[in-house]
Amino acid sequence: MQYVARPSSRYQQFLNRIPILGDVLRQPLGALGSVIVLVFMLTVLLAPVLAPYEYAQQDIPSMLQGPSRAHWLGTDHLGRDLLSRIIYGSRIALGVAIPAVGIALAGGVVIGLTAGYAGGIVDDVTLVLLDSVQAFPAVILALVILALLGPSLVNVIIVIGLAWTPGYARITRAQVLSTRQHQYVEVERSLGASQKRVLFLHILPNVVAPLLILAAMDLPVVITFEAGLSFLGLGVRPPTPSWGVVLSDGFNFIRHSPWPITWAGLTLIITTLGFTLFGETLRDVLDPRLSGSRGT
Amino acid sequence: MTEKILQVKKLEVKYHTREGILTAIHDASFDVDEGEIVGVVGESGCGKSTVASAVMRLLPPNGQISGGQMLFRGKDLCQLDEGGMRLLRGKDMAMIFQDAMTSLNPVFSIEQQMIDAQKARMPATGQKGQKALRERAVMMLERVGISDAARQIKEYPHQFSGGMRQRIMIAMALLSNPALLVADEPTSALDVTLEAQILELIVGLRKELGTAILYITHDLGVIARLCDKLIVMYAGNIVEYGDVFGIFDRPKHPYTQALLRSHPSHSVRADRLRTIRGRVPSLRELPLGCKFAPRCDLAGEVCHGTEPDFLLVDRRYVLCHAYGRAWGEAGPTVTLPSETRRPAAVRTLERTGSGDGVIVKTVQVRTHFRDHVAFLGQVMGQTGGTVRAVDGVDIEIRRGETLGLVGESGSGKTTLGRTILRLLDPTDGTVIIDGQDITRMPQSKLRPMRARMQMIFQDPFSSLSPRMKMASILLEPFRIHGLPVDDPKEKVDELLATVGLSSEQADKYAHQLSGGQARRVGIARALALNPDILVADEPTAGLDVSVAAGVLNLLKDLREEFNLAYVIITHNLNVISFIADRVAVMYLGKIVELAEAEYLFTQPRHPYTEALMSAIPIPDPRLRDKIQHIILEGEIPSARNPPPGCPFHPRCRYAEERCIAEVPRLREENGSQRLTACHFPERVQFRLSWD
Amino acid sequence: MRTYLLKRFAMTVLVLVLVIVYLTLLVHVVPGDPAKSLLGPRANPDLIAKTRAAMDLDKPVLVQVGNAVWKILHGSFGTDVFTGRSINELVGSALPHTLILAWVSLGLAVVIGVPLGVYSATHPDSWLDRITAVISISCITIPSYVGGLFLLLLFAVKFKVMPAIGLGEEGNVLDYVTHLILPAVALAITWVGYLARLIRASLLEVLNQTYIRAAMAAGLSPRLIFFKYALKNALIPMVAVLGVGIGNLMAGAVFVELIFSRPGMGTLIYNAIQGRNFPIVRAGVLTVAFLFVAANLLADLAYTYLDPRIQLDKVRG
Repeated sequence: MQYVARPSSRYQQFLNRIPILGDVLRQPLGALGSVIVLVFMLTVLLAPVLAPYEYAQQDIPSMLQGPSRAHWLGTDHLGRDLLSRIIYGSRIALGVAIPAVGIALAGGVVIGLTAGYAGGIVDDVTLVLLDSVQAFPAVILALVILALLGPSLVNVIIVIGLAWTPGYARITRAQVLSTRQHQYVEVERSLGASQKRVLFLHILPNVVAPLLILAAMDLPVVITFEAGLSFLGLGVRPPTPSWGVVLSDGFNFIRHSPWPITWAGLTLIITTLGFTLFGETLRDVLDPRLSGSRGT
Repeated sequence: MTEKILQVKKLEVKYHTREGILTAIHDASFDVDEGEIVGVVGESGCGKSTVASAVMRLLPPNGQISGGQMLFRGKDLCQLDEGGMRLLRGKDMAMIFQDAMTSLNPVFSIEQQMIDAQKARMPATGQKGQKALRERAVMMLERVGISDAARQIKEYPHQFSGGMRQRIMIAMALLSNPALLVADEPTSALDVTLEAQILELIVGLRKELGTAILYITHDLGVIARLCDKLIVMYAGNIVEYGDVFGIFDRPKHPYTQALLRSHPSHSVRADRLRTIRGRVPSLRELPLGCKFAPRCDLAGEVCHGTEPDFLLVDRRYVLCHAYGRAWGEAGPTVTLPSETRRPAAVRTLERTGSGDGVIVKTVQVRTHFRDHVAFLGQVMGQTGGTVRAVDGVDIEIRRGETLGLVGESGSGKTTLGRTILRLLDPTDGTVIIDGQDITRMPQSKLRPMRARMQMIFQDPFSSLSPRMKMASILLEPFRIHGLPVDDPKEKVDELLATVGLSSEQADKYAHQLSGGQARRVGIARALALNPDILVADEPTAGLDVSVAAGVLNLLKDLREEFNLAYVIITHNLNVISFIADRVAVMYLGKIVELAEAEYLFTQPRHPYTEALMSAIPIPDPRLRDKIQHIILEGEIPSARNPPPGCPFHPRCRYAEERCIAEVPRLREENGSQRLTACHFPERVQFRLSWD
Repeated sequence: MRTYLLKRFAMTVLVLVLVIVYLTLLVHVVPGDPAKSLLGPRANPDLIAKTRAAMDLDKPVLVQVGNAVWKILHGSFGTDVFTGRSINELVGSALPHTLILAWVSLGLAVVIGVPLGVYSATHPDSWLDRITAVISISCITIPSYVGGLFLLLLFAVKFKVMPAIGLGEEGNVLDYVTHLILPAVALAITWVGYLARLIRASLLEVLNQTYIRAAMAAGLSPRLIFFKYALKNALIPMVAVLGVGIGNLMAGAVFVELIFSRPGMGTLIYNAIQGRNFPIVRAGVLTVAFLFVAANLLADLAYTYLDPRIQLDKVRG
């Protein structure tokens, strides 16, 4: 750990007092990730305060400008302020990602618990069905369904939820199977605990904890996925300022101004990087194999 | 004149860790002569494996030899560079590891690995050279007892059983006929019968090839069976070093004495085992002065203050102030525990007619497992096999009695234990607990009964939920059965005290406990509801001798105190001899012999029991040549397709036609309490001989 | 071993049949007449009826599904109602470009990512290892379309050193290759980072195994131990990941093909979706799904070949 910078001891004491986040912040990359996530969250909360213009406010004469004092990041082809659009875009990114991952998580847990706990033919059939849904690459699956349902914010959420459900279902199932093998589950039975008690008090917490970490790590993936769909014109429709829409608009005018693509692209990369660093450090901190050694 | 193969002088090994630099080995000096087996013994964390790695110069990257010399045939290994070391490794020095499972590369065939190992020393040219290397490999495999080696050499490691893999490792190590073999716990992961096979092999190879062996183990029985010299290690120091007979006969260092006394042995039965208080200190918090002083009964002021010298006393080295000039006139009093008694004097339970006080009874219990075949497999016509884990067992256990269940892995002993408690549903037969037939009892009715029948599980850690503190783990039984606890804190303290733990453990999580502590919490939880029946699965597995002794004493005390009925499942026969009143020997799901522990250990009647008894490593080197070593051939067959007739016949030295044709019944022999399932029990001649 | 292969194969076929069924049923899940939405609201009823017949829509649903499965398993996707060309031909002309793009990207990712990972694992906690770690994570977080747009902006629009769009002149191999560079790099970026991290993690784990110590104790040379004994074990997880990888690369190709105006499966499916040409969508998606499943099967087989243990343990129904 020599490479950890040594901030003041008061900072260290402060870190010691926060249970999990403190350990995340102790890692330099984890701290960087946390800061990015924090900035992102603040942007989502304070978008109307932070944004200098309305996101749909057009100003055709000053279209496709570079950064200036009036428009810090420049303008798009309709003269809309890029900074404002990107700030409001954060709301779309999170507004899609959280419910979508939530749907996937809920669906996956239900399916996985059922398959893992019931076993036998139910499990076999579930596995085949999951396999067949996962035979489609997620983008393709989303494209087809959105083409049929029509592009809209709600549809994007549903489609992403659907595409991510099989993954969660598989992990839940695997967790159920492995947790059932744990000896303390048998111990509970030997003590006379009922099935319900074992399932809800001992199996479920062990299943849910790793899924939550996974969900945290899936947030950035889903954010880029939504932006990608919007870029293709199949996600959020203009004028709603999804980052994908900003990219798509910028792509159409790529020979006239590099700014929309540059800013929207950088925002996407930095956001994803932040969430990924945060998620990975969180996983390392929570991973039971790494946390604490036995005995001594 | 024997040549000195290895002379280690004042060796010091350090580890660079986040907490700073830790001294793992301090001032270690010993010799290994040609053709000699030198044992290194000690509890976990004492540095025995570090010695093995240091000699091979295979310390982990953060380990460093920081002082001393290691002369290998006069050449100092510490001064050699990595290239020079490599020339010695695999040629003049070789090593075998504890876990043969992981010490062979899973993705290359045995042939490939054995040829590569030879090529490291002599580059083979062309097909002819390749063929020579292969022939040598096959020859070596045959020598270590791999049948059909020419064909088997093409196989991959996972296709061999654990015992076979260890043989292959030995064959690989001995390919070049090394002068020194370093063996790091090579039999610790094996069953007694397999261990006996491997020990026999090592003794034979030593005689044949004259290889000197540095043998690391925690098992004093193995040392007594095998070694010429013994090194006893404690907290990174060699505390005693000398002739193995001398040390076992008159141990000088207090730690050696304590270690020997805490070892259960069926040749010397005791009512209680000696334990050593406290535990091995971690390298981070080594005490000043003598490292053993905090746990030593003899320790005086000088012991806590200054480090003792490595003294030569009666041709033996001892690291103890008590043998130095400073100690004054009175040397340490070395006595064997006074409570030791010979077998004949051991109390046997009074029997008051059969059926009285019987609390557990099984009638022809069978537990079979069917393979799960997924539906696609069923469509394609696959059918699952059946594992007959328990196959017709009758037992009776009375209150206050301990029944030992022994057998090799795969004999079905754990399955039987779980079936008795209905943690598994029996396929057939009857299980009666205190007069109630629970065989088909619905779980809802069974649940209240579970308070009275408890199990101590094999792995102490995985049987404790990682998310719960000990206090809440100990209160779990009350919550499950809806029993109100007036003062939870007091209850927890009381339970912890019962198993000899302090109340500060209540706030800890499982990963913060040591193996012995976790095991004790498991016992405390099982005792929380005052059960009548306790099934303990391998209660001492993975524990160091002195810690295991504590757990065994505790079990014994608790039985007297609460009049419990015990089923102790173990493959460790020394444990059984210490604690069990009667012993059932299982083989392939059947009981082959059931008798008072007394008789079973001295006069076994079943050929399998006989082989088991002769395989036990007894911690007494004088017995090594007196006891007849019956080495069982091969390994326990799969319970999927057990052999016809007597299941033991393929490995039995007395087997005849009749054994293949007819299943022997478990029957009583002329009115005695002992039952044997053998057609020819009179042929079994094994007797434990005494001096 | 043979039962394992048979089972694995049967499973693959079953999954593909299910995929065909889904795709055929999908038209019925959404409201509206697919033929109408294909031809537009003002198409004449005759034409609509004809199209419905051509698309099998006039038959009962079960017959439609049966027909679709039957035809596709016999290798026919039918005819495009607009152009009258065989859909097989359309897919056949698009597919090679996507395959080339995906494989070249994968090759790039392996060639750059594996050495990076090997270096990091052999020099853990060195400065270069830490820099590699940051680069790898950054690479992983760059989506292919952002990478593609940036590359396009930089090399084709700003500096004009690379061709921006299309496949290049027909028959000119060099031109084809120069047109391939930017899209392939855009697609490979994520995988470079991913493979580097994967290889680092699995190598570090393998180097800690007892069999590596045993090989050292047997006096094997460090080169042999590393490149033969350790690397083969460490590459096994990568093979499994590459199976999924090739599928993801083809999906990512949708973006890259659109950005660089390359013909391919992505463009084909995307245009068909825009035109509501459902038979082509179905054919395209099915082809991608088929390749995806096939890649997974191949990866599994390679896995079996590399890791002899698998035949026994990993039998799943």
